[in-house]
Amino acid sequence: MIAWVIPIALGLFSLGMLFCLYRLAVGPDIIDRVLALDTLMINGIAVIVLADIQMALGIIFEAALLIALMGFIGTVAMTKYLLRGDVIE
Amino acid sequence: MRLEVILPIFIPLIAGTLSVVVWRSTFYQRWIAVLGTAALLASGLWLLSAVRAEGHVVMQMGNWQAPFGITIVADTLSAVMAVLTGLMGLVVAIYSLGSIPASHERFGYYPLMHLLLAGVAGSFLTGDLFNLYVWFEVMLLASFALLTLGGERAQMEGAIKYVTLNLFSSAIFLSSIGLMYGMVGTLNMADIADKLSEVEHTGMVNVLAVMFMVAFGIKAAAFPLFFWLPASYHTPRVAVSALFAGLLTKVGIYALYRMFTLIFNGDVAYTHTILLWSAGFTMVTGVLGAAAQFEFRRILAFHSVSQIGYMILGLALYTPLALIGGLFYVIHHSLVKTCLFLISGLVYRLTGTYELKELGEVYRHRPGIAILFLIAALSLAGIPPLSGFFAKFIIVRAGLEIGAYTLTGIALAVGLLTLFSMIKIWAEVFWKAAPEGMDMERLKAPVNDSHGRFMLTGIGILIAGILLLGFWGQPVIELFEVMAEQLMNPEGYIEAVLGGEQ
Amino acid sequence: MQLALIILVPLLGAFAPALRRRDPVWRLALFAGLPALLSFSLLLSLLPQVLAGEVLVYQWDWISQLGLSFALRLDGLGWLFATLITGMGTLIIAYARYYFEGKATSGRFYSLILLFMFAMLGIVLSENLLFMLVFWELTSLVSFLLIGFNWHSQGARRGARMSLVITGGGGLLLLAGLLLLGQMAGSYQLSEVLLAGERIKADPRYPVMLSLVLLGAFTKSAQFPFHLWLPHAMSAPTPVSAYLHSATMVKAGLFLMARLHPAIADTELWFNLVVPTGMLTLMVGAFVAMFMHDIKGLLAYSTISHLGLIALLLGLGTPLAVSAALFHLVCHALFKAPLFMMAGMVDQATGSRDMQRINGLWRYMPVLMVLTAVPAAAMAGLPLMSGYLSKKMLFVESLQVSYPFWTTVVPVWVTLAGLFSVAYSIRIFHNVFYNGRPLDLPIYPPRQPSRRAMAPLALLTLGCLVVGFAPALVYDKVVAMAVNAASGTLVPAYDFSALSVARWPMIMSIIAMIGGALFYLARNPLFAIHSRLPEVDAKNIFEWIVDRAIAYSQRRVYQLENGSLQRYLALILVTTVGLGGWALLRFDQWQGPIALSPVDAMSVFGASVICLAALGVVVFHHARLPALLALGVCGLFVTLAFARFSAPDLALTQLSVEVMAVVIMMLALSFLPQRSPHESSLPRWTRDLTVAGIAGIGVGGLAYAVLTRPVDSISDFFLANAVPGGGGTNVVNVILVDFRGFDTLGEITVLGIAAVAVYAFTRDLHLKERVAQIADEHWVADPHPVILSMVARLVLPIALLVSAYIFLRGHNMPGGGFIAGLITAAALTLQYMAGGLVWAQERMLTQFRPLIGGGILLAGVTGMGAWVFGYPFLTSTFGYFSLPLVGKFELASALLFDLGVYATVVGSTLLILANLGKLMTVAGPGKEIG
Repeated sequence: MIAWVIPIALGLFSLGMLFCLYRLAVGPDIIDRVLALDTLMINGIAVIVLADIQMALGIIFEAALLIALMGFIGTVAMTKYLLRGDVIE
Repeated sequence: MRLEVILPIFIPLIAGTLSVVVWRSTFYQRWIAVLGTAALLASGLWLLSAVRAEGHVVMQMGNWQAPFGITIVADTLSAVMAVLTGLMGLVVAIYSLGSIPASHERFGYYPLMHLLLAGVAGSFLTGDLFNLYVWFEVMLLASFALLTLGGERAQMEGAIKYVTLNLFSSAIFLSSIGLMYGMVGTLNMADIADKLSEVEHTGMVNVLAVMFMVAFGIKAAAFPLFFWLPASYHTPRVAVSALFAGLLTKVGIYALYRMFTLIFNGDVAYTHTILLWSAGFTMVTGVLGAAAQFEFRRILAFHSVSQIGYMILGLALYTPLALIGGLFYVIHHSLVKTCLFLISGLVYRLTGTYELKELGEVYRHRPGIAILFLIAALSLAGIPPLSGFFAKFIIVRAGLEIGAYTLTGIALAVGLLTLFSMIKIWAEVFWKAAPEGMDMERLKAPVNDSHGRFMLTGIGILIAGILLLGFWGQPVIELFEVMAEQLMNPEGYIEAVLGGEQ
Repeated sequence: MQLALIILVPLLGAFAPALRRRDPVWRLALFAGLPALLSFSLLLSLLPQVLAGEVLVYQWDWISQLGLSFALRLDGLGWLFATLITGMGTLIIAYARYYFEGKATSGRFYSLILLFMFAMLGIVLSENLLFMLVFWELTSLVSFLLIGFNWHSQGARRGARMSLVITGGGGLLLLAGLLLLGQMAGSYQLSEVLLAGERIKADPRYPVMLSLVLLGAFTKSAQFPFHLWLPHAMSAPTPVSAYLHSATMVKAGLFLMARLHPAIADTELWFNLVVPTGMLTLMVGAFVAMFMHDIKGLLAYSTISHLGLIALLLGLGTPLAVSAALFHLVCHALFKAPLFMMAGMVDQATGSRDMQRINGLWRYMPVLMVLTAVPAAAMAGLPLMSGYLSKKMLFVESLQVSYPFWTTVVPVWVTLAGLFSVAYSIRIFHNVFYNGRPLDLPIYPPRQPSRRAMAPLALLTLGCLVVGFAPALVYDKVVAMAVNAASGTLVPAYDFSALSVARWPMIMSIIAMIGGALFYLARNPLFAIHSRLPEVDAKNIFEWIVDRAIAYSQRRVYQLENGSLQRYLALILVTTVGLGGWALLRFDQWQGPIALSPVDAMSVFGASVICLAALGVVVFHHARLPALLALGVCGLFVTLAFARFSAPDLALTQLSVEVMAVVIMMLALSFLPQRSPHESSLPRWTRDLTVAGIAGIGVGGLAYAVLTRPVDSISDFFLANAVPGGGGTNVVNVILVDFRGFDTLGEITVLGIAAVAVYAFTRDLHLKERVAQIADEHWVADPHPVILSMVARLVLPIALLVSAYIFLRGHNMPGGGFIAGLITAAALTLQYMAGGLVWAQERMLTQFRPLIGGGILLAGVTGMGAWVFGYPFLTSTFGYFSLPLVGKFELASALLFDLGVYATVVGSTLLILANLGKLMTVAGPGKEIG
C-alpha cells in the first residue's frame, strides 16, 4: 500500500508547489510572493519526508527540520523588511 | 614530519590570528608584523636549503598518504617563491610602519597583510588542486579587504571590478577542478599528471587546459584578462599596491608554470602556442597602455601587465633556458616593481601627488631618491648590468635559440618602449622644472623622522637586492638551472609525492 | 692583470668626485685627471708588446652558463682606441677644469666622465661580445645623463631622451645581432668569432645578423638616418661634446665594424649596406653643416659627415681602405676636439654661439685664433695638414672601387662632399675670427680666455701638426698595427710621398678646395635662400611622432579598457569559449560508455524549476525583492536536489547558507538604487545572452562528456577508511575535518577574513539616507512586535539544542560543525531581528572578533597538537569511551577541530550581520559592534 500512496502524495505536494510557484511569479503584491515562498518551503518539508520514506534512507529527516527553522527565519526577515524597511534595528 | 615545508604557511597564519587577538594595540601589531615576516623569510630560506640538499621536500597533511590526503610539497621553484614571499612581506611590513596611517592600522591592516602572505605561501607550497583553490580564496578576500581599507570612492570602484573579475576566475577554476576530477578521479597534482596521460580524448584535455589557462590567466593578468589590474592597482595605499605588484600576479604565473610543465605537457603544440600569442599581446598592450598614462602608479600598473607577458613568454618557449629566464624575470620584476611603487609612495609623501603634470624638480632637492629611482627604473628597462638586462637577455637568447624570431623582436621592441616610458617618468618627475602650485617646502622637508626611515629602509633593501641580482647572478642562475631541469622533467616531482608506488 | 687595471682605475676614480662634490674645481679635476693619466700611461707602457704583435688577454668568469665572462683583450686596434680614449680624456678633464670654473656641478661632471671612460674602455678592450654589449648600453646611459646635464633646459631633456631612445634601441638590436653571431660562430669569445669568418658568412642567418649588428653600429655612430640625435646632443656642456660626441662614443659603432671585420665584412651585402649609408651620411652632414649658424651645430654636422666618411671607407673593405679609415679616425679626433674646445671658450667669452653675431674675434683672442687655425685647416684638408693626407687617401681609395655603378659615383660624390667640408671649415675659422665686427653680443667686450685653459688645445694642435708633418711615423707604427689586428692582414708601409703626386686625387683635392672657397664666398645669398626654407627641427618631428603614437595607443587601449565591467566579463567569456571551442572542434564523441540513469518526473520538475528561477532572477533584476525571492527558490530546489541524491550534509549546508545569505543581502537592499541606471540595449543584450548561453551549454556538454566516462576515483579510499582511519561513519564530515582538514582550515580563514573586512569597512561608513522603497510607505509603528519576541525567545533554546545535537553527531550522522554553527547563527539572528540591535548586543556573551580568532586558533592548535606526538600537522586520533547511562561513544580529536569551525562560523556570520544591521539603524551608527 505504501508503494502507491507515496507517489500520489508526492504528486499532490508537487502540485501544491506548482501553485506556490505560480503565485510567486504572478502575485500582484510583494506580500503575496513572500507568503508563496513560505508555503513553498512548507511543501518542501513534506516532500523531503516523503522522499526519505520512499528511498528508505532515514537520514534526510533533519533536512526537513532545518528547512522548517530556516524557512521561518527567512520569512521573518522578509516580513520585517516589508513592514519596517529594516531588518535589524 | 617536515616542518620546514609547512612553516611558511603557518607562520603568517599564526601571525595574522595573533594580530586579530591583539587588535586594540597597534604597538604589538607592528612588532608582530616585522617579526612575523622576518620569521617567514627565515623559514623560506630554511626550506630552500633543504630543497637544495634533497631536491623535493614533501609532507602529507593529517598523515594520509598521497594521493588521498593533501600534499604539501616544495621543489626548487616553490622554495624560491616562498623566499620571495618572505622578502616582499618583510620589506612591505617595514615600509608600512612608516607609511600606513593609524586609522588603517586600527582597521586591521596587519592581520590582513599576514593572511594575504599566508594565502600566497599556501598557493606556492601546495601539491593539491583543491587546496590551491582554497589558498586562492584566502588571497582574494585578503586582497579585497586591503583594497577597500580607507573607503575612498576610487578604491571602491577599483575593488568592485577586482573582486568581480577574480570571483569569476574562481568560478572558472572551480568548474575546471570539478571537470578534472571527473576525468581522472583525483585532486593531487602529481597523481593528475600521472593519470592524465591515460585519458584518450585530447580534445577534452585541451579544453580543460584552456579553462585552467583562463582561470590562472585572470589571476596573472594576461591578455585579454588583465583589466582588473589597471582598474585597481593604483587606488589603495602604496604599501598595498607594492605588495600586490610583488606577489599577487606572481601566484597566477606560478600556477601557470606548475600546470603547464607538470600536468598539461602532452599537447605542447596547442597549449604553448596559445601561451605564446598571449605573451606577445600582453607585452604589447601593457606597454602601449602605459604610454598613454600620466599618473605615476597607473604607468607602473600597466607596466606590470607588460612584464607579465615576458614571464608567460618564458613558459611558452618551453626550453630550460626559457624557464630560467621566466623565473629570473619573476624575481627581478617583484623586486623592481615593488621598489618603484614604494618610491612613488615616498615621492607622494614629499609632494602630495602622483600626477606627473604636477611634479617636477625632485632631482635637485632629493638627488638620493632620484638615484634610487634611476636604478630601479633602468633595471626595469633592461639596462646592463642591472637585473633586468639579464632577465631580458636570457629570454631573448632562449627565443633566438629555437627560432621564435617574431616574439623575440616583440620582446625587444617592448623593452625599448619600456625604456622610453621610464625616461618619461624620470624627465617629468625628477628633471623638469616644478610647475606652479607645487609645494616646495614639503619637498625640502627632511625625511629623517622615524616614518621616513622605515620607508627608506624598505626601499634600500630592495635596491640592494636588485644590485645583487645583477652583479651576482651566477649562484642564482645555477639554482635556476636545477629548477628548470626539475620542471622539464616532472617525473622527479611525481615520484617524490607519490612515493614511487606507481 | 694590467689590462684589468686599465679599465678599473677610471671606475674607481669616478667615486671620488661624486663624494667630494664640495671641493674646489681644481682639486676635483686632479682627482679625475689622475686615474685617466694612469690608464694612459699603462697603455703606453704596453705599447712595445702590442707592437710586437702580441695579443694580451685577461679572463675571469662571470656567468658561464650564459657565455658571459669578464674578458679583456688588448691588440693593436684596441690599443689605438684605448689610447685615444684615455689620452683625450685627460686633456678634456684639464679643459673642463677651466670650463667649470665657478660652477658647483663639476663633481657630478667628473664622475660621469670617468664612468664614461670606464664604459668606453670596456667596449674597446672587451674580448667577450656580450660583455661588450654591457658596456655599450652603459655608454648610452652615461651619455644620456651627460646630455641632460643641464636638466632645467627643456631642450637638453628632449635631446637626452631622443639620444637614449635611438642609441638604446640600437643597443637592443645589437643584442639580438650579437646573440645570433655567437650562435653562428659557436662562441662569444672574440678570438674564436674572428676565426670563424667563413662559417659565419655562409650561414643562412647572415643577412639578418648583419643587418641587426649594423643597425646597432649605425645608431651609435649617427649614420643616416639615425644621425638626428647627435645635433640635439649639443645641449650638453662643451667638454661632453668634445669628448663623447666627437672623439669617442660616436666612434664606438665604427670601432665595432672594424673589430668584427674579419668575421662579417668583405661580402657584397656588407658593401651594399655600408657604402650607401656612409655616402649619404657624408653628404648630408657636410651639406647641412654649411648652413648651421650655431658653432656647435656646425661642428656636430661636420662630425656626422666625417663619421660617414670613415664608415664609407670601412664599407669599401680593402685593407688599404680600412687603414685609411683608421688613420682618418685619429686625425679627426685630433682636430675636432680642439675645435669644440674653441667653441666652448668662445661661448663662455661672448655668451653666444651664433656665428651671425660672432665676428672679428681676432682682435680680442689672437692666441686662440692661431691655435684654431691649425685644426680648421686640417679639417678643410689643406696641404701639409693631416686632414689633407687623409682626404687624399680617401680619394685614392674611392678610385679603386671596382663595382660597375659605384666606380663613377663614389669619386664624384666624395669630391662634392670634400667641397662642402672645405666650405664649412673655412667658415668656422673665418666667420668667427674675421668677417667684420661682432654684432650684439651678450658679453661685450668678450672675456679673455685664460692662458692655461688653452694648454690642452695647444697640445692637440701640436698633435695635428705632428701627424701632418710626419705621417709615416704615426701610420706605420700605430695605424698599421691596428689594421693588422683588425683585418688580420699585413699592410705595407704607406707611400706618403707617392700620395702627393698621384694624379686624380690631386685633381679632386684642387676641385674641392677651390669649389669650397667659392661656395664660402657666395655664402650670403645661399644663407638667404636657406632661411626661406621651412625650418625642420628633428626634435619636433620626434616629439610629434611620439605624441601621435601615444594618442593612438590611448584610443586603442580605451577601446578595450573602458571601465565597463560587463565588457571585461564578456571578453573573458569570449576568450574561454573561443579557445575551448577551438580545442573541441575535432571532438566527436560526446557520450561515453556509461549509460544514463532513468529520468523520473520529480527530477525533471526540480531541474526545470531551478532553470526558470535562475532566469527569473535575471528578468526580475530591477525589482530587487522578487529577484531575491527567486534566488531563494533556486536555493531551495538545489537543496531538494541534494536530498534526492542522498547527500544530506550538502542539503543541510546549502539551505542554511542560502537563508543566511538572503538575509544578509536584504540588509543591504534598501541602500541600492531602486531603478537600474540604464537597461542594456537590445544588441548588447543579445550579445550577452549568446555568449552566456554558449558558455553554459559548453560547460554542460563537457560535464555530460565527463560524467558518461568511467573513472577510478579516490573516493573509494575515503569510503573504505572513514571508520578505521577517521573514526566516523559520516564520510562527508570525516573528509571535511580529517582527510582534508587543511582545506577546511583555509576556508574558515577565508570566512574570518570576510567578516573582518566587513567590520573594518563599516566602522566609519556613513551612508546616505535609505532610499524609500514603496511610494506611500507607512511603516508599522512597532519595531519589535511582541509575538515575534516571544516566539523568538522560545525558539532560541530549542535551536541551540538542535545545534548542539547536530554538532555532536556530525562525525557519524549528517551534521557537523559548520551546519551547527549556521543554525546557532540563525537563531541568534532571530534574536537580533526580534529584539533589536541594542537589546541583543547587551545580552551577547562575547565579542565576535575574539570568537573568530579563537576559532581559527583552536583549529590550528588542534592540528599542531599532532606535532607533539611527532606526526604531521592535523593528524587525528580517536578512541572509544564509555559513560554510564550513555553507553559507548566515540571521541575524536577532530571534534576539537570542528569546534573551532563552529566558533568561527558563528562569530563571522554574526559579525557580518550585526555590522550591516548597524549601518541601517534608524538611530544612526551606534556603539561599536564586534
